[in-house]
Amino acid sequence: MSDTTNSILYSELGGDDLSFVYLGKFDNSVLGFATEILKGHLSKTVESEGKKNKLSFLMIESFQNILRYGLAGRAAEMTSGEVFIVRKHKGSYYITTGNYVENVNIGPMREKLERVNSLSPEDLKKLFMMTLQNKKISKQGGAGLGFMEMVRKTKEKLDFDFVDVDGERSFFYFQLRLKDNPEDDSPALSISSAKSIKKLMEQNGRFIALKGDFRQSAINPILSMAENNISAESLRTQRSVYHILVEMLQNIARHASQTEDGRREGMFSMGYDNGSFVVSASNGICPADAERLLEYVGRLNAMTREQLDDYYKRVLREGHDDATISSGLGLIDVARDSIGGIDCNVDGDGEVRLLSMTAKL
Amino acid sequence: MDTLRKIYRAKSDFYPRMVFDKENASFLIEGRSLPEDSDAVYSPVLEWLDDYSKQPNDETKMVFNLEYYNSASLRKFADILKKLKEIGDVTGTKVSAVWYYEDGDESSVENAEDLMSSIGIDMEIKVVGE
Repeated sequence: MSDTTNSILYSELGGDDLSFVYLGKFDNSVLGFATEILKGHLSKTVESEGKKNKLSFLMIESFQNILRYGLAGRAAEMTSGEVFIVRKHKGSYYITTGNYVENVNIGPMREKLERVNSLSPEDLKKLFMMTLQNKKISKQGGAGLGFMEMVRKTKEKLDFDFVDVDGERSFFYFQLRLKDNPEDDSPALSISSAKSIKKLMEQNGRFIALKGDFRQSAINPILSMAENNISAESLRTQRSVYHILVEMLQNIARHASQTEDGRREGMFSMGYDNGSFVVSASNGICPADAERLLEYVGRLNAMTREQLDDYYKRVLREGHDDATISSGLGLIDVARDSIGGIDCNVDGDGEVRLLSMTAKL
Repeated sequence: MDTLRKIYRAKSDFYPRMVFDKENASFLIEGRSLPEDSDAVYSPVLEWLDDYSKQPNDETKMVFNLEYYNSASLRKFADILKKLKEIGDVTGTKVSAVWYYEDGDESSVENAEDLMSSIGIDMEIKVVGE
Protein backbone atom coordinates (compact mmCIF):
# COMPACT_ATOMS: atom_id res chain seq x y z
CA MET A 1 0.00 0.00 0.00
CA SER A 2 1.27 3.42 -0.87
CA ASP A 3 2.31 5.80 1.88
CA THR A 4 0.27 8.97 1.40
CA THR A 5 1.29 10.82 4.57
CA ASN A 6 3.33 13.39 2.71
CA SER A 7 0.73 14.17 0.07
CA ILE A 8 -2.03 14.59 2.68
CA LEU A 9 0.24 16.80 4.79
CA TYR A 10 1.23 18.72 1.69
CA SER A 11 -2.36 19.59 0.92
CA GLU A 12 -3.04 20.54 4.57
CA LEU A 13 -0.06 22.89 4.37
CA GLY A 14 -1.11 24.11 0.92
CA GLY A 15 -0.52 27.81 0.40
CA ASP A 16 2.42 27.79 2.82
CA ASP A 17 5.76 29.16 1.65
CA LEU A 18 7.31 27.55 4.67
CA SER A 19 6.09 25.03 7.22
CA PHE A 20 7.94 23.42 10.06
CA VAL A 21 6.17 20.92 12.29
CA TYR A 22 7.65 19.15 15.26
CA LEU A 23 5.71 16.64 17.29
CA GLY A 24 7.23 15.07 20.35
CA LYS A 25 8.89 15.92 23.57
CA PHE A 26 10.10 19.43 24.12
CA ASP A 27 13.43 20.46 25.48
CA ASN A 28 15.95 23.14 24.64
CA SER A 29 17.76 20.96 22.11
CA VAL A 30 14.59 20.93 20.02
CA LEU A 31 14.49 24.71 20.17
CA GLY A 32 18.12 24.75 19.08
CA PHE A 33 17.62 22.72 15.94
CA ALA A 34 14.24 24.26 15.13
CA THR A 35 15.80 27.73 15.06
CA GLU A 36 18.74 26.47 12.97
CA ILE A 37 16.47 24.84 10.40
CA LEU A 38 14.22 27.88 10.22
CA LYS A 39 17.17 30.22 9.95
CA GLY A 40 18.25 28.41 6.79
CA HIS A 41 14.83 29.12 5.33
CA LEU A 42 14.17 32.54 6.78
CA SER A 43 17.41 34.08 5.60
CA LYS A 44 16.03 33.94 2.08
CA THR A 45 12.54 35.16 2.76
CA VAL A 46 12.69 37.54 5.68
CA GLU A 47 14.16 40.82 4.66
CA SER A 48 14.92 42.85 7.77
CA GLU A 49 16.98 41.98 10.84
CA GLY A 50 14.15 43.42 12.88
CA LYS A 51 11.62 40.94 11.62
CA LYS A 52 14.05 38.05 11.95
CA ASN A 53 14.71 38.95 15.57
CA LYS A 54 11.03 39.41 16.24
CA LEU A 55 10.29 35.96 14.82
CA SER A 56 13.07 34.39 16.83
CA PHE A 57 11.80 36.07 19.95
CA LEU A 58 8.25 34.86 19.35
CA MET A 59 9.44 31.33 18.66
CA ILE A 60 11.56 31.22 21.76
CA GLU A 61 8.86 32.68 23.99
CA SER A 62 6.16 30.30 22.75
CA PHE A 63 8.53 27.43 23.08
CA GLN A 64 9.55 28.30 26.60
CA ASN A 65 5.89 28.78 27.46
CA ILE A 66 5.42 25.08 26.85
CA LEU A 67 8.27 24.28 29.19
CA ARG A 68 6.89 26.73 31.75
CA TYR A 69 3.23 25.77 31.68
CA GLY A 70 3.61 22.11 30.79
CA LEU A 71 2.66 19.48 33.29
CA ALA A 72 4.69 19.25 36.45
CA GLY A 73 7.05 16.31 36.29
CA ARG A 74 6.40 16.06 32.57
CA ALA A 75 6.32 12.28 32.36
CA ALA A 76 7.25 11.04 28.91
CA GLU A 77 3.85 9.61 28.07
CA MET A 78 2.23 12.95 28.80
CA THR A 79 4.55 15.08 26.73
CA SER A 80 5.13 12.90 23.69
CA GLY A 81 2.36 14.48 21.64
CA GLU A 82 3.35 18.12 22.11
CA VAL A 83 3.50 20.15 18.97
CA PHE A 84 5.43 23.16 17.65
CA ILE A 85 4.52 24.62 14.26
CA VAL A 86 5.92 27.57 12.34
CA ARG A 87 4.29 28.52 9.04
CA LYS A 88 4.56 31.31 6.52
CA HIS A 89 1.08 31.38 5.07
CA LYS A 90 -0.31 34.02 2.71
CA GLY A 91 1.88 36.85 3.93
CA SER A 92 1.79 36.05 7.64
CA TYR A 93 3.97 34.01 9.95
CA TYR A 94 2.16 31.72 12.36
CA ILE A 95 3.72 30.15 15.39
CA THR A 96 1.59 27.50 17.04
CA THR A 97 2.28 25.41 20.09
CA GLY A 98 0.24 22.63 21.63
CA ASN A 99 0.89 21.06 25.00
CA TYR A 100 -0.83 19.35 27.90
CA VAL A 101 -1.93 21.38 30.91
CA GLU A 102 -3.71 20.36 34.08
CA ASN A 103 -7.33 21.44 34.09
CA VAL A 104 -6.94 23.13 37.48
CA ASN A 105 -4.51 25.59 35.86
CA ILE A 106 -6.77 26.54 32.98
CA GLY A 107 -8.68 29.20 34.92
CA PRO A 108 -5.68 31.39 35.80
CA MET A 109 -4.12 30.90 32.35
CA ARG A 110 -7.29 31.88 30.54
CA GLU A 111 -7.63 34.90 32.81
CA LYS A 112 -4.10 36.04 32.04
CA LEU A 113 -4.53 35.54 28.28
CA GLU A 114 -7.87 37.29 28.19
CA ARG A 115 -6.56 40.20 30.23
CA VAL A 116 -3.66 40.72 27.84
CA ASN A 117 -6.03 40.43 24.86
CA SER A 118 -8.49 42.95 26.26
CA LEU A 119 -6.04 45.80 26.88
CA SER A 120 -5.55 48.76 24.56
CA PRO A 121 -1.95 49.28 23.32
CA GLU A 122 -1.58 52.16 25.82
CA ASP A 123 -2.83 50.14 28.77
CA LEU A 124 -0.70 47.21 27.73
CA LYS A 125 2.36 49.46 27.69
CA LYS A 126 1.46 50.74 31.13
CA LEU A 127 1.06 47.24 32.51
CA PHE A 128 4.30 46.19 30.84
CA MET A 129 6.25 49.02 32.43
CA MET A 130 4.70 48.33 35.81
CA THR A 131 5.65 44.67 35.52
CA LEU A 132 9.23 45.64 34.65
CA GLN A 133 9.47 47.73 37.80
CA ASN A 134 7.64 45.33 40.04
CA LYS A 135 9.87 43.05 42.06
CA LYS A 136 7.17 40.45 42.57
CA ILE A 137 7.44 37.69 40.01
CA SER A 138 4.45 35.60 39.07
CA LYS A 139 4.47 32.00 40.13
CA GLN A 140 5.36 30.65 36.69
CA GLY A 141 8.34 32.99 36.36
CA GLY A 142 7.45 35.97 34.29
CA ALA A 143 4.95 34.45 31.92
CA GLY A 144 2.79 37.54 32.12
CA LEU A 145 5.59 39.60 30.66
CA GLY A 146 6.02 37.01 27.91
CA PHE A 147 2.37 37.21 26.85
CA MET A 148 2.51 41.00 26.93
CA GLU A 149 5.60 41.07 24.75
CA MET A 150 3.97 38.71 22.28
CA VAL A 151 1.00 41.02 21.83
CA ARG A 152 3.21 44.10 21.66
CA LYS A 153 5.45 42.53 19.04
CA THR A 154 2.74 41.02 16.85
CA LYS A 155 0.15 43.77 17.40
CA GLU A 156 -2.37 40.93 17.29
CA LYS A 157 -4.48 39.19 19.88
CA LEU A 158 -3.31 35.85 21.22
CA ASP A 159 -5.27 32.94 19.78
CA PHE A 160 -5.75 29.90 22.00
CA ASP A 161 -7.94 26.91 22.74
CA PHE A 162 -8.18 24.25 25.43
CA VAL A 163 -9.30 20.77 24.40
CA ASP A 164 -10.20 18.47 27.26
CA VAL A 165 -8.36 15.13 27.18
CA ASP A 166 -9.52 13.08 30.15
CA GLY A 167 -11.27 15.35 32.63
CA GLU A 168 -7.98 16.10 34.41
CA ARG A 169 -5.80 17.29 31.58
CA SER A 170 -6.40 19.38 28.50
CA PHE A 171 -4.45 20.08 25.36
CA PHE A 172 -3.63 23.77 25.12
CA TYR A 173 -3.25 25.24 21.64
CA PHE A 174 -1.65 28.65 21.38
CA GLN A 175 -1.13 30.59 18.16
CA LEU A 176 0.63 33.82 17.23
CA ARG A 177 0.39 35.67 13.95
CA LEU A 178 3.00 38.10 12.67
CA LYS A 179 1.93 39.93 9.54
CA ASP A 180 4.40 40.80 6.82
CA ASN A 181 2.30 43.81 6.04
CA PRO A 182 0.54 45.41 9.04
CA GLU A 183 -2.24 46.65 6.72
CA ASP A 184 -3.14 43.09 5.72
CA ASP A 185 -6.68 42.46 7.01
CA SER A 186 -7.19 38.94 5.68
CA PRO A 187 -8.63 36.48 8.19
CA ALA A 188 -6.15 34.54 10.30
CA LEU A 189 -5.38 30.90 9.82
CA SER A 190 -7.60 28.90 12.16
CA ILE A 191 -6.14 26.98 15.07
CA SER A 192 -8.09 23.99 13.78
CA SER A 193 -5.48 23.61 11.05
CA ALA A 194 -2.87 22.94 13.72
CA LYS A 195 -5.20 20.34 15.22
CA SER A 196 -5.49 18.51 11.88
CA ILE A 197 -1.73 18.62 11.36
CA LYS A 198 -1.07 17.20 14.80
CA LYS A 199 -3.58 14.41 14.20
CA LEU A 200 -2.08 13.55 10.82
CA MET A 201 1.45 13.45 12.16
CA GLU A 202 0.40 11.36 15.14
CA GLN A 203 -1.57 8.84 13.10
CA ASN A 204 1.36 8.33 10.75
CA GLY A 205 4.13 8.28 13.33
CA ARG A 206 5.91 11.37 12.02
CA PHE A 207 7.79 13.70 14.34
CA ILE A 208 9.14 16.23 11.88
CA ALA A 209 7.75 17.74 8.71
CA LEU A 210 9.23 20.56 6.71
CA LYS A 211 7.81 22.19 3.61
CA GLY A 212 9.66 24.91 1.77
CA ASP A 213 12.81 25.53 -0.19
CA PHE A 214 15.20 22.61 -0.48
CA ARG A 215 18.31 24.10 -2.00
CA GLN A 216 21.49 22.69 -0.48
CA SER A 217 21.95 25.64 1.88
CA ALA A 218 18.50 24.99 3.33
CA ILE A 219 19.00 21.27 3.85
CA ASN A 220 22.33 21.44 5.68
CA PRO A 221 20.76 22.35 9.04
CA ILE A 222 18.30 19.45 8.69
CA LEU A 223 21.19 17.09 8.19
CA SER A 224 23.06 18.34 11.22
CA MET A 225 19.86 18.08 13.25
CA ALA A 226 19.45 14.49 12.09
CA GLU A 227 23.06 13.67 12.84
CA ASN A 228 22.64 14.80 16.41
CA ASN A 229 19.18 13.45 17.06
CA ILE A 230 18.77 10.10 15.39
CA SER A 231 19.40 7.49 17.97
CA ALA A 232 19.73 4.03 16.56
CA GLU A 233 20.80 0.80 18.16
CA SER A 234 23.88 0.44 16.05
CA LEU A 235 26.22 2.86 14.39
CA ARG A 236 25.56 1.03 11.14
CA THR A 237 21.81 1.71 11.32
CA GLN A 238 22.51 5.29 12.30
CA ARG A 239 24.76 5.71 9.27
CA SER A 240 22.18 4.13 6.96
CA VAL A 241 19.48 6.44 8.28
CA TYR A 242 21.68 9.44 7.79
CA HIS A 243 22.69 8.29 4.36
CA ILE A 244 19.08 7.80 3.24
CA LEU A 245 18.20 11.22 4.59
CA VAL A 246 20.95 12.88 2.61
CA GLU A 247 19.92 11.13 -0.58
CA MET A 248 16.22 11.82 -0.15
CA LEU A 249 16.75 15.48 0.65
CA GLN A 250 19.18 16.03 -2.17
CA ASN A 251 16.78 14.23 -4.42
CA ILE A 252 14.22 16.97 -3.74
CA ALA A 253 16.81 19.63 -4.46
CA ARG A 254 17.76 17.89 -7.69
CA HIS A 255 14.35 17.02 -9.10
CA ALA A 256 12.05 19.70 -7.78
CA SER A 257 10.74 22.07 -10.40
CA GLN A 258 12.35 25.45 -9.82
CA THR A 259 10.23 28.52 -9.15
CA GLU A 260 10.97 31.87 -10.78
CA ASP A 261 13.01 33.08 -7.80
CA GLY A 262 15.14 29.95 -7.76
CA ARG A 263 13.34 28.12 -4.98
CA ARG A 264 13.20 24.33 -5.07
CA GLU A 265 9.84 23.57 -3.52
CA GLY A 266 9.47 20.38 -1.59
CA MET A 267 8.42 18.67 1.58
CA PHE A 268 10.09 16.22 3.87
CA SER A 269 8.86 14.26 6.86
CA MET A 270 10.48 11.80 9.19
CA GLY A 271 9.27 9.47 11.91
CA TYR A 272 8.91 5.99 13.32
CA ASP A 273 6.25 3.71 11.96
CA ASN A 274 5.73 0.24 13.46
CA GLY A 275 9.30 0.03 14.66
CA SER A 276 10.87 1.24 11.41
CA PHE A 277 12.45 4.57 10.74
CA VAL A 278 10.60 6.28 7.93
CA VAL A 279 11.51 9.21 5.66
CA SER A 280 9.26 10.75 3.03
CA ALA A 281 10.24 13.36 0.50
CA SER A 282 7.95 15.15 -1.96
CA ASN A 283 8.50 17.70 -4.66
CA GLY A 284 6.79 19.33 -7.59
CA ILE A 285 7.68 17.73 -10.88
CA CYS A 286 6.50 17.93 -14.52
CA PRO A 287 4.30 15.04 -15.73
CA ALA A 288 6.92 13.60 -18.09
CA ASP A 289 9.64 13.46 -15.42
CA ALA A 290 7.15 12.00 -12.96
CA GLU A 291 6.40 9.18 -15.42
CA ARG A 292 10.10 8.49 -15.94
CA LEU A 293 10.86 8.42 -12.23
CA LEU A 294 7.90 6.18 -11.41
CA GLU A 295 9.02 3.76 -14.08
CA TYR A 296 12.63 3.91 -12.88
CA VAL A 297 11.73 3.35 -9.21
CA GLY A 298 9.51 0.44 -10.32
CA ARG A 299 12.50 -1.10 -12.04
CA LEU A 300 14.70 -0.65 -8.96
CA ASN A 301 12.02 -2.12 -6.69
CA ALA A 302 11.81 -5.22 -8.89
CA MET A 303 15.53 -5.97 -8.53
CA THR A 304 17.00 -8.33 -5.96
CA ARG A 305 19.70 -7.08 -3.60
CA GLU A 306 22.40 -8.66 -5.78
CA GLN A 307 20.99 -7.10 -8.92
CA LEU A 308 20.92 -3.71 -7.20
CA ASP A 309 24.54 -4.12 -6.11
CA ASP A 310 25.59 -5.01 -9.66
CA TYR A 311 23.56 -2.19 -11.13
CA TYR A 312 25.09 0.24 -8.63
CA LYS A 313 28.60 -0.76 -9.64
CA ARG A 314 27.75 -0.53 -13.32
CA VAL A 315 26.31 2.98 -12.98
CA LEU A 316 29.34 3.97 -10.94
CA ARG A 317 31.64 2.65 -13.67
CA GLU A 318 29.80 3.58 -16.83
CA GLY A 319 27.42 6.34 -15.85
CA HIS A 320 23.68 6.17 -16.20
CA ASP A 321 21.92 4.78 -19.23
CA ASP A 322 19.16 7.34 -18.77
CA ALA A 323 20.65 10.83 -18.86
CA THR A 324 17.47 12.45 -17.47
CA ILE A 325 17.97 10.77 -14.10
CA SER A 326 21.21 12.57 -13.29
CA SER A 327 23.70 10.30 -11.56
CA GLY A 328 20.96 8.02 -10.29
CA LEU A 329 23.21 6.54 -7.63
CA GLY A 330 21.22 8.07 -4.80
CA LEU A 331 18.01 6.23 -5.56
CA ILE A 332 19.80 2.93 -6.08
CA ASP A 333 21.29 3.42 -2.65
CA VAL A 334 17.93 4.19 -1.08
CA ALA A 335 16.40 1.17 -2.80
CA ARG A 336 19.19 -1.03 -1.42
CA ASP A 337 18.56 0.07 2.15
CA SER A 338 14.81 0.57 2.25
CA ILE A 339 12.59 -2.25 3.51
CA GLY A 340 10.30 -3.35 0.68
CA GLY A 341 11.89 -0.92 -1.78
CA ILE A 342 11.01 2.72 -2.37
CA ASP A 343 7.38 3.65 -1.98
CA CYS A 344 6.65 6.12 -4.76
CA ASN A 345 3.47 7.92 -5.81
CA VAL A 346 2.37 10.90 -7.87
CA ASP A 347 -0.54 13.19 -7.03
CA GLY A 348 -2.35 15.89 -8.94
CA ASP A 349 -3.11 16.31 -12.61
CA GLY A 350 -1.81 19.71 -13.68
CA GLU A 351 1.46 20.80 -15.24
CA VAL A 352 3.19 20.33 -11.92
CA ARG A 353 2.54 17.05 -10.11
CA LEU A 354 3.53 16.11 -6.60
CA LEU A 355 5.98 13.23 -6.47
CA SER A 356 6.38 11.54 -3.08
CA MET A 357 8.89 8.89 -2.13
CA THR A 358 9.03 7.04 1.16
CA ALA A 359 11.81 4.84 2.47
CA LYS A 360 11.72 2.64 5.54
CA LEU A 361 14.62 1.28 7.53
CA MET B 1 36.93 45.83 47.99
CA ASP B 2 40.11 44.96 46.14
CA THR B 3 39.13 41.39 46.63
CA LEU B 4 35.89 41.72 44.64
CA ARG B 5 35.99 38.79 42.27
CA LYS B 6 35.30 39.24 38.59
CA ILE B 7 32.55 37.62 36.60
CA TYR B 8 33.62 36.29 33.23
CA ARG B 9 31.17 34.06 31.50
CA ALA B 10 31.75 32.76 27.98
CA LYS B 11 28.84 32.87 25.59
CA SER B 12 26.98 29.82 24.33
CA ASP B 13 23.86 29.12 22.27
CA PHE B 14 21.49 30.07 25.05
CA TYR B 15 23.57 32.18 27.38
CA PRO B 16 25.22 35.54 26.93
CA ARG B 17 28.82 36.46 27.39
CA MET B 18 29.08 38.45 30.59
CA VAL B 19 31.83 40.54 32.06
CA PHE B 20 31.58 42.27 35.43
CA ASP B 21 35.05 43.57 36.21
CA LYS B 22 35.44 46.54 38.57
CA GLU B 23 39.17 46.90 38.07
CA ASN B 24 38.94 47.27 34.31
CA ALA B 25 35.65 49.15 34.52
CA SER B 26 34.00 46.63 32.24
CA PHE B 27 30.31 45.77 32.63
CA LEU B 28 28.92 43.84 29.71
CA ILE B 29 26.18 41.43 28.63
CA GLU B 30 26.30 40.34 25.00
CA GLY B 31 25.13 37.64 22.61
CA ARG B 32 22.02 35.57 23.22
CA SER B 33 20.17 35.43 26.48
CA LEU B 34 17.55 32.72 26.30
CA PRO B 35 17.72 30.89 29.59
CA GLU B 36 14.66 29.04 30.78
CA ASP B 37 15.78 29.67 34.32
CA SER B 38 16.85 33.29 34.29
CA ASP B 39 17.50 33.28 38.06
CA ALA B 40 20.31 30.79 37.66
CA VAL B 41 22.04 33.03 35.13
CA TYR B 42 21.44 36.44 36.63
CA SER B 43 21.39 35.90 40.42
CA PRO B 44 25.21 35.82 40.55
CA VAL B 45 25.28 39.15 38.71
CA LEU B 46 22.79 40.75 41.08
CA GLU B 47 24.76 39.46 44.06
CA TRP B 48 27.94 40.77 42.52
CA LEU B 49 26.32 44.19 42.14
CA ASP B 50 25.36 44.12 45.82
CA ASP B 51 29.03 43.73 46.69
CA TYR B 52 30.07 46.27 44.11
CA SER B 53 27.61 48.81 45.51
CA LYS B 54 29.67 49.01 48.71
CA GLN B 55 32.52 50.67 46.86
CA PRO B 56 31.67 51.41 43.25
CA ASN B 57 33.89 53.08 40.67
CA ASP B 58 33.41 56.80 40.07
CA GLU B 59 31.80 55.87 36.83
CA THR B 60 29.87 52.71 35.88
CA LYS B 61 28.78 52.13 32.31
CA MET B 62 26.69 49.01 31.72
CA VAL B 63 26.76 47.72 28.12
CA PHE B 64 24.02 45.54 26.61
CA ASN B 65 24.77 44.15 23.17
CA LEU B 66 22.24 41.40 22.57
CA GLU B 67 21.30 39.44 19.53
CA TYR B 68 18.29 37.69 21.06
CA TYR B 69 16.81 37.65 24.53
CA ASN B 70 13.65 36.26 26.06
CA SER B 71 11.18 38.07 28.28
CA ALA B 72 12.57 36.43 31.41
CA SER B 73 15.95 37.98 30.59
CA LEU B 74 14.40 41.37 29.93
CA ARG B 75 13.05 41.32 33.44
CA LYS B 76 16.54 40.61 34.75
CA PHE B 77 17.98 43.48 32.71
CA ALA B 78 15.45 45.68 34.47
CA ASP B 79 16.63 44.33 37.84
CA ILE B 80 20.26 45.01 36.96
CA LEU B 81 19.51 48.55 35.85
CA LYS B 82 17.42 49.17 38.95
CA LYS B 83 20.34 48.11 41.11
CA LEU B 84 22.74 50.34 39.17
CA LYS B 85 20.40 53.29 39.46
CA GLU B 86 20.27 52.70 43.19
CA ILE B 87 24.07 52.62 43.36
CA GLY B 88 24.22 55.97 41.59
CA ASP B 89 21.52 57.50 43.79
CA VAL B 90 23.05 56.29 47.04
CA THR B 91 26.76 56.88 46.36
CA GLY B 92 26.55 59.85 44.02
CA THR B 93 28.75 58.10 41.44
CA LYS B 94 28.00 58.36 37.74
CA VAL B 95 25.93 55.48 36.42
CA SER B 96 24.75 54.95 32.85
CA ALA B 97 24.01 52.30 30.26
CA VAL B 98 24.48 51.68 26.54
CA TRP B 99 22.05 49.51 24.60
CA TYR B 100 23.14 48.26 21.18
CA TYR B 101 20.60 47.07 18.64
CA GLU B 102 20.85 45.74 15.12
CA ASP B 103 19.81 48.23 12.49
CA GLY B 104 16.09 47.79 11.81
CA ASP B 105 15.30 46.01 15.06
CA GLU B 106 12.58 48.36 16.32
CA SER B 107 11.35 46.11 19.09
CA SER B 108 14.82 46.10 20.63
CA VAL B 109 14.75 49.92 20.60
CA GLU B 110 11.28 49.85 22.10
CA ASN B 111 12.46 47.56 24.92
CA ALA B 112 15.44 49.83 25.58
CA GLU B 113 13.21 52.89 25.78
CA ASP B 114 10.84 51.08 28.12
CA LEU B 115 13.73 50.07 30.36
CA MET B 116 15.11 53.58 30.36
CA SER B 117 11.85 55.26 31.26
CA SER B 118 10.60 52.67 33.74
CA ILE B 119 13.91 52.55 35.64
CA GLY B 120 14.81 56.19 35.07
CA ILE B 121 18.42 55.47 34.15
CA ASP B 122 20.55 57.40 31.67
CA MET B 123 20.86 55.13 28.61
CA GLU B 124 22.35 55.59 25.16
CA ILE B 125 20.63 53.55 22.43
CA LYS B 126 22.99 52.85 19.53
CA VAL B 127 23.11 50.81 16.35
CA VAL B 128 25.68 47.99 16.49
CA GLY B 129 28.89 49.03 14.73
CA GLU B 130 28.33 52.76 15.06
